[in-house]
Amino acid sequence: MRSFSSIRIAFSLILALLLSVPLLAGELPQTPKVVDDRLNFGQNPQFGGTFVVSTTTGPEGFNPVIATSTSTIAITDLIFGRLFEVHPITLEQEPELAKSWKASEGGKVYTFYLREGLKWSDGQPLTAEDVVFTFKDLHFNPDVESDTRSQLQLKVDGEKKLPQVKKVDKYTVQFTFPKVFAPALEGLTTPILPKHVLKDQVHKLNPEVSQGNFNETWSLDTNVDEIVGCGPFTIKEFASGRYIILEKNPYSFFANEQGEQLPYLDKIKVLFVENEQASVTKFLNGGIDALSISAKNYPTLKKREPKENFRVYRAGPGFGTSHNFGFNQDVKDEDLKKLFRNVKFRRAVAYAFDEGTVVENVFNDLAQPQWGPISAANTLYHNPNLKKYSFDLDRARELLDEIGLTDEDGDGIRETSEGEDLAFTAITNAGSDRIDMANIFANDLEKIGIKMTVKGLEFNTVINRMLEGEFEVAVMSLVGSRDPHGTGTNVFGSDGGFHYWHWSAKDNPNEAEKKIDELLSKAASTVELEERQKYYDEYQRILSEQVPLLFTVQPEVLYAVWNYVGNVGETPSPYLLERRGSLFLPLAHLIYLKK
Amino acid sequence: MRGGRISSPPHRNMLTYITRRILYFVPLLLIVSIISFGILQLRPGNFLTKYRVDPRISEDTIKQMAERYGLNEPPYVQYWKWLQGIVTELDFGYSFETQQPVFNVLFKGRVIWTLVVMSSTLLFSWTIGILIGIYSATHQYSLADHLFTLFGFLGLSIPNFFLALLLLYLLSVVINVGPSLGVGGLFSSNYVGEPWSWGKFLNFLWHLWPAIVVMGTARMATVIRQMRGNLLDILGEQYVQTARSKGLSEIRVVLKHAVRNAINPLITMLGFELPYLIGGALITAIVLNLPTVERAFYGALLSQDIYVAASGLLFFSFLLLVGNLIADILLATVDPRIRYD
Repeated sequence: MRSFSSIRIAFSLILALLLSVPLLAGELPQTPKVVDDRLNFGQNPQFGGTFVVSTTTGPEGFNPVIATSTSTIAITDLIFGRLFEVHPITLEQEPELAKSWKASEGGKVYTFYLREGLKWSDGQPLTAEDVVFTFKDLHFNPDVESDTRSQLQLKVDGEKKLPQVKKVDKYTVQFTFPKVFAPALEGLTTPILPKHVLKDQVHKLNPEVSQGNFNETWSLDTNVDEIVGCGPFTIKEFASGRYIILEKNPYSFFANEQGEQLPYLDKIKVLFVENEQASVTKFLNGGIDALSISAKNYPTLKKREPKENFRVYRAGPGFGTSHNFGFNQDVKDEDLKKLFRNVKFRRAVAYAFDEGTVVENVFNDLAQPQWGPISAANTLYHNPNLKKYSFDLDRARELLDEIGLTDEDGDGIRETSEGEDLAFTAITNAGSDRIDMANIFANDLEKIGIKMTVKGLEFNTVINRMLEGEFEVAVMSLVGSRDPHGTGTNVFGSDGGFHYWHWSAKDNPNEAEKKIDELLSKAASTVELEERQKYYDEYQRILSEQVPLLFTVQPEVLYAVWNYVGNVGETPSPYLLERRGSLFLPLAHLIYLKK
Repeated sequence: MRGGRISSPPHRNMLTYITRRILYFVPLLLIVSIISFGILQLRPGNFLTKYRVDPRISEDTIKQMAERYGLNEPPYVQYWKWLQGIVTELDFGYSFETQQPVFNVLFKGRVIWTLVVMSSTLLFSWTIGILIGIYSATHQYSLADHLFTLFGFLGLSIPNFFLALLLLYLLSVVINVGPSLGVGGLFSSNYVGEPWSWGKFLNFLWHLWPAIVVMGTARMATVIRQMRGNLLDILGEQYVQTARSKGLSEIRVVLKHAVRNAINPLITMLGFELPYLIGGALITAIVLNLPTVERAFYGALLSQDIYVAASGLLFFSFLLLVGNLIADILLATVDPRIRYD
């Protein structure tokens, strides 16, 4: 009897031990990142479950340092943490791995204070060493293909200089920039990587591996168990071309206000479905929990919404891509060049662009007119009080008459000063929305006596011809950056790498371009938000008045979600963002499934 | 090539014939590789062009990537290096898009599904096609014959993508089979990433049949018409009449004497079936979301991931050559009149 009970005690001890294992599995740092109620608006969120989503493109690797494609970043964002992050909805800077930070010397020096007790997904401690490694040995290492490097590189006296990064103590890191440069801060939001796992893959630290070896580290054929992260999720399984399964990181540093470790979900399954029609049917069948959709599928889903347990959301204008018409101010034809350089002409054609018809016919009423370079989604910097060129053919005709463009021979087409018909060709890539948009525009231009021929070419041909300046009019989309500085300098800066409508501005900028350059550099050299906003307001105002590019419309972000998914879609803000075919779940740690 | 020679034993001739045919593969594939690589190079721009419109990616990064991928080198150097890799190490090059060896992108975890889908489609369309062909020939101009003909031509004329979309719509919206059965892909969402089980296997079969039907019906009409025509010709031949007059039952006459001879021309057709299967599988795989080799190839074509695309073309040409060889060998086995030199 006695021995029996001791066996029982031993047995229950073992049982208790076994039961405690899952409790030990989740470990929060001493100072977790507590997600405040403002963002956690669901009713009694529940833990557990698998969330199934689909995306048109899978990741191209798991190495966030060299990642260039949005489909890769979409995944790495979930498995790595950053020092701080710009919140996708409020656009405020939110602490992540750093619990706080301070700027000193007018924004030249940044000191970050890490949370204590942070751990990598393999249980090793995450400290200032890892942060210094990520910047000094990876991003600032010329052997590594990092794009963050060029973001953080500042020109000082004609020389490119990188900031100094230094470990102050175990939990403190300091960055010293050579000068005040506000946009650089965004470069510091890059994911932090584990030194103990990766140091042997870097040629500089381990001469045994070849040069450039790090660029091929953590590629798609890496065993996913070797990928150690610090975000809310880790990779459980990856099947090339088919799916990726993420699971809760037991060392996640996120917690809710009750002190419970987040994420709520046990797993996320991301299925790769390149055909949107196929993913829509899969969603309707219940095989996918949430889906980002394009304007053409919106009516189908909206029609079924009342009968089904899902909702279709319109989340307002998208953040990034906008379509533009660029009139080449360096075009070979002297007459056209003179016209395209005339702001009255550019304004005239802007009045001839029928944004209403384009929104209705090309985007199923699911887009908004755009008048400047910054999307309305960028609430921090968007200037709503810009000059608007609402469709007005009479106003367009008036302006053309003022320039002296008239139709003398009565064939319906105005003649240039040389007596030739005013005709030009717009190029864009075949098979895109841009073609339809350009055709509507051409139709209206003809009504005011301008003949524009629309030509569909292959995407790369269009890009090459834009880069070489071999075009008259080009229709393209540009990806917007979160901080206006990126797109600003690259596209609108007179020496920008994609200032395609006026390449000669590099040597010979016009007055407006000089002003833009000045505003961009002023906005970059202060870290005061209000001051920056003032400069960018002015920048947008000048661009809307000068119309160097004819801004058209901004498509809306649309998605459909089943009602059993919580903390997604209960506000008008996009919790699920589709960026160029990749599904982004910026707040995946908050999503839960209602039982 | 098919001249008669009686002196040496047929199987030895066959062996030298196969060896010779396989040796022919080498120059053929070489030419194919040059042409495919050349055509891919004709496209303007390269893999990195799309990054030029993305203001978030600096020119320095693009230059560094071009350097690493060898895109700055002239095309013939790129080709030569690629070829060298294949010949010396069976290394098909590097995929820019997915940052891994081409072999992993095109074949790893894909060849198996391609083969499963293709062979089950072949089995389905040929078994049913031949059976219907025999029935139609023996019941010429009956109502069933007409119906089968109509059905066959419908399958032939409905484009694969449309039939696939139709099936998807039917299953998910009209019938709504629910998430546990699922539509599209290889498995329903809840079986994705789970270990194999009977339930998962059955779920797999459930996901396989739409692909088989979509691709199979497209080719079935040809098989039906061929079989029907051949059998009708043969049924009119004198030796069939003789067999009948000997008093053999009609089933024996048809199956034992007529069908055996009527099936020969179909075997030649079998060799040409592979390109159709590859073409059909591409579109079907995209719509039904099946992870086949074709889909990886298609993606590579779009993104100008040249080594993946060129290796894909090489692979399909190889399949075609093998298919033809197999058809010729099969033909020799079933038809004793054919001799090889």
